[in-house]
Amino acid sequence: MLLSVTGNTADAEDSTQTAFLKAFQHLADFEGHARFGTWLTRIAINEGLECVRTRKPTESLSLEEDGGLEFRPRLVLAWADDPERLYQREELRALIERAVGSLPVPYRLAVVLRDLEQLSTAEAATALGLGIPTLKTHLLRGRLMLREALAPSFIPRAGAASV
Amino acid sequence: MFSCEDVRAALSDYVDGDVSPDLRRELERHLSECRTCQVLYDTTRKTLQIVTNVGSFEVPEAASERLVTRIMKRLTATRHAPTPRS
Repeated sequence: MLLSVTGNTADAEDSTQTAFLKAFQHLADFEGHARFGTWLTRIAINEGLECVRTRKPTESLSLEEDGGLEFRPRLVLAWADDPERLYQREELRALIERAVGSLPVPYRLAVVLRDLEQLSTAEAATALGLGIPTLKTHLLRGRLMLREALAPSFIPRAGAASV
Repeated sequence: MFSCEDVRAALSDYVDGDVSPDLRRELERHLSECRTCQVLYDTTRKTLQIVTNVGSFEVPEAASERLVTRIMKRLTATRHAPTPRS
């Protein structure tokens, strides 16, 4: 998960180490309102964001920030019936990693927690310190952007029906 | 009457099965008549299916082992550090 936040292995490792140490030092603060994994995820995300902020102080990483970005899908063409069969598993994984990595951080985190890590909407919102409506807005935009990023790889080259 | 914009706003919840019966009816009525929204729905559904099947990004085994070693070393050091006298 921290790989998708920081974008590189070294920062992801450093953030993971710091997150585990902080969690260990603050175990007594865990009050059991959320699942332990959600609590740990929140600490890890904060560490990952802090690491990126230090590296790129100009990048806006406010998770609450909406930015008013209304995303309009443009490549609305039918995909192959069974798109996963077009690629080998490793190619597919690399394709997804690149596409997820291209999303703005708040939308990327919503997609990673909900769709890759399979957290519930409530758990993902808690882990990110967001309300459920904000999480859902980020998730919608992230999923639409992800669909757009993957579309060129899954639209059949010939015979695609344009709509 | 539901617009394409309304469908787009509810798409994520619809794919998750997180919509009321009334909203579901409206969405499905629109989808049955609008080819563009049908394609948008179908490709969004396929996107999530692919992403879910691929699952979490894997940390290379060597990196994982290195990380566990680093964390254990730091934790051990923390536990054996002398406590300040009050």
